[in-house]
Amino acid sequence: MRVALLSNVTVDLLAGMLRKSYDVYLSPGYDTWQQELLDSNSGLYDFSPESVVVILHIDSYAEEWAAFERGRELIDTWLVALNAFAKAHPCVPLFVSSIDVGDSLCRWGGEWQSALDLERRLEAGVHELRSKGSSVYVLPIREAMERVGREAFYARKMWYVGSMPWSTKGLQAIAKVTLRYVRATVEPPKKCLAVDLDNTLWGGVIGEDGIEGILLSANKEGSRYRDAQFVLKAMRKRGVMLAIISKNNPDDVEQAFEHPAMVLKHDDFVAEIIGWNPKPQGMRQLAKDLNIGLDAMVFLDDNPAEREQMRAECPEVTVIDFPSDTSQLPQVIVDSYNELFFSLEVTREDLDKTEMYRTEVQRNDERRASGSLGDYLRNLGMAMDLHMLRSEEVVRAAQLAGKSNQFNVTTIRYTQTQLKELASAEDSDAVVACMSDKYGSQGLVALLILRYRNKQAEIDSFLMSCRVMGRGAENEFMAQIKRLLEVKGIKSIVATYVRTAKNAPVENLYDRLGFVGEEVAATRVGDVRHYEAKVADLPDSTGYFVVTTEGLV
Amino acid sequence: MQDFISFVAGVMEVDPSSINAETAYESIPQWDSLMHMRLVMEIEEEYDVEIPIDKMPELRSIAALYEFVEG
Repeated sequence: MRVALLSNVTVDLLAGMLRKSYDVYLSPGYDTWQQELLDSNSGLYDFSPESVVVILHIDSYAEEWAAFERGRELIDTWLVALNAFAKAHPCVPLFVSSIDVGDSLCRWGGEWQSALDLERRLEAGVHELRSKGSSVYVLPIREAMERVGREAFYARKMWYVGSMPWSTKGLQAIAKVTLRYVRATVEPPKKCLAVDLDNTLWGGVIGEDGIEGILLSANKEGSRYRDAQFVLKAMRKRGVMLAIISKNNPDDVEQAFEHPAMVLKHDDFVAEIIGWNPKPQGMRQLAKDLNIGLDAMVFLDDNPAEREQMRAECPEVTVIDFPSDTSQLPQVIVDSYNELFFSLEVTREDLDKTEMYRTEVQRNDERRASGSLGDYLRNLGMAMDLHMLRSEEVVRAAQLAGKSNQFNVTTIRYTQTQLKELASAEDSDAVVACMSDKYGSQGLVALLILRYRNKQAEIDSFLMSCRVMGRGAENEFMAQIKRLLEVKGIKSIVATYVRTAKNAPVENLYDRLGFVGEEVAATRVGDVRHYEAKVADLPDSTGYFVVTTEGLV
Repeated sequence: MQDFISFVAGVMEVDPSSINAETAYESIPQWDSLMHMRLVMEIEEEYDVEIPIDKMPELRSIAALYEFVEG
C-alpha cells in the first residue's frame, strides 16, 4: 500500500520504520507538508497515496506556541491545508496526529496553565472536516506520548541535532499507532470475542462460591471485573460480537446474571455455550452458528489449560494472554480491542449486529418448523431494495468488500476511493442491495460491480454478507440485473470465479444462475474459471421478495 | 569490539564483515547524518549511556564510539 508521511519536522527515521510494511512517500525538503497538501502538482499528488499520515510536532519553546493567540492562528492555517486536501480526496484516509503543546513555559503561580485549548482546537477542526464527509481521522499521538511518558517520549538532543524530536521509544510508539490506523484501512478486524465466566467476568467460581461469594462490585477488589465488563460492553457497542463459552451449570450462571453489579446482560451476547464439552468444540460450533471463520474469533479465558487446548486444537483462533495480575484485566481487554478489533468506521450495521445475529437464531428455529424452504422464505416477509451505490453508502460498501470472504466470487478488496470511481464511471455500475424481513433489517448486504465493454457486460465482483446466504437473494439479485441489462439492450454477460481459501460456497454460483463455465473447475486457491451467459438465460424473479429498484431500471 | 561492530552493522542494516573499527561517518553510503542520529540513539539505548550533544560530532567512527561506550 502507498502511504504518504507528511510532517513539520524530520520524520525520515519514522518513515524507515513504516517502510517495513508499506511503500512510503516522504515530502522533499523540511516543513513542506502544507505546500504538498495544497499544490496539486506536488509529489504527494503524483504519488497518489492510499493513506496520508500527517505528524505534527509542537516545539513548545517556540514563540508562536508561547503566545496562545498565535498558536490558534497557526492551527487554523493548518486546517486550511488539511481541508483542501481532504476536499479534493474525500475517500483517501487522512490521519492527523493529535498535538502535544507541552509544559515547557515559565509560568507564575496564578497563571492559566492549560494548553488543552490549542490541543482541542486541532482535533475539533479535524472532526468538523469528518462531519462534512471527508475520511479524516485524529491519530492519537499525544495519547501514545502520555502512555510512554513525556520524558521518555522525546529526545531534546535529536531535536537540536536533526530537528527530530523523538526518542527511540517515542518513535516506536508513533509507528505502532500509525500502523494500527493505516492497517485498519485494508485489513478486516476480528468479529467475535468468546469469553469465559468464572474468574474472567467475575472473581471466583459461581458454582462453588454462590452469588454471595463471587467477586464483583462497584468498588474495591470486585470492581476490576466490573470494569472489565464495562470494557466488553463498550466493545459490543462498537460492533464486536460477544459470546460465552463456559464450563458451568446453566442454573448457576443464571444466578450470576441476577447479580446487582453484573454489567453484561443476556442480550449483550450473540450466543451462550454453557456446559461441559471441550471449549474448542464450543468455539467451532459458535463459528458455524454465526457463519464466520475461526480466524475471526478471539478467546478470553483465565485458565491456562483452556487457552493451551484452544491454541492446540483451533490454531486459527486468537487467544488473549490473560494477565497474571487481574488488576490489569480491563486494560488488557482495551489493548486487545486496539490490536484485534479496531476499525476506523462503525456503521449502523455494526451497531445492530448483536441483535441481527440473535434474530438469526430465531429464523433458524422457524426454518426447522416450516415445511419446505420455499414456504419458509415466503413467510419471512423479505424485502430487497436494489439501487446504484450512493455516496453515503460508500463506507459500508467498502467495509463489505473488505471483509466478505465466503460469498465473494472474485474477492477484490475495493477501497472507498475505487468504489466511488466505479460508481461514477461511464463504463461501470456498482449495484447494491439492502434487505429486511419481518424480524428486522439487515441493511446493505450485497454488492455487484458491472463493467461494460462493446455491448457486453462483465461481472467484476459479486459479494454478499454471509448473514443472508441461503435465502434466494443471489437469484433475486441476478434477476434484477437481468432487467437492468435488458433495458440497456445488452445481450451477453461474462463472469469469473476466482478460488480463495474461503469462497468454496460460491464455486457453483454461476452454474446455478444460468451461466456456462469453462470445462475445468477451479479447485485450488488462485484457480480461475470463466463463465458466460446470454442475458435471456439469467434467472427470473424468485417471488420471495418485495423488490424495489428505484433509480436502477 | 566484534560484538560492537555486529551491533552497529545491525542498526545500519549492512553485513558485519563490510565494516570495521576504521569505518567512519560518510565512509560508507549508509552512514549519513540521519544514520548518525539513529546510531547514537540506538547505542544509548543498548549500552545505557548518554552521549552528550557536543560529543556527537567527535564520535564519528566505530573506534571512537566504541571507546566512548567501553571507556
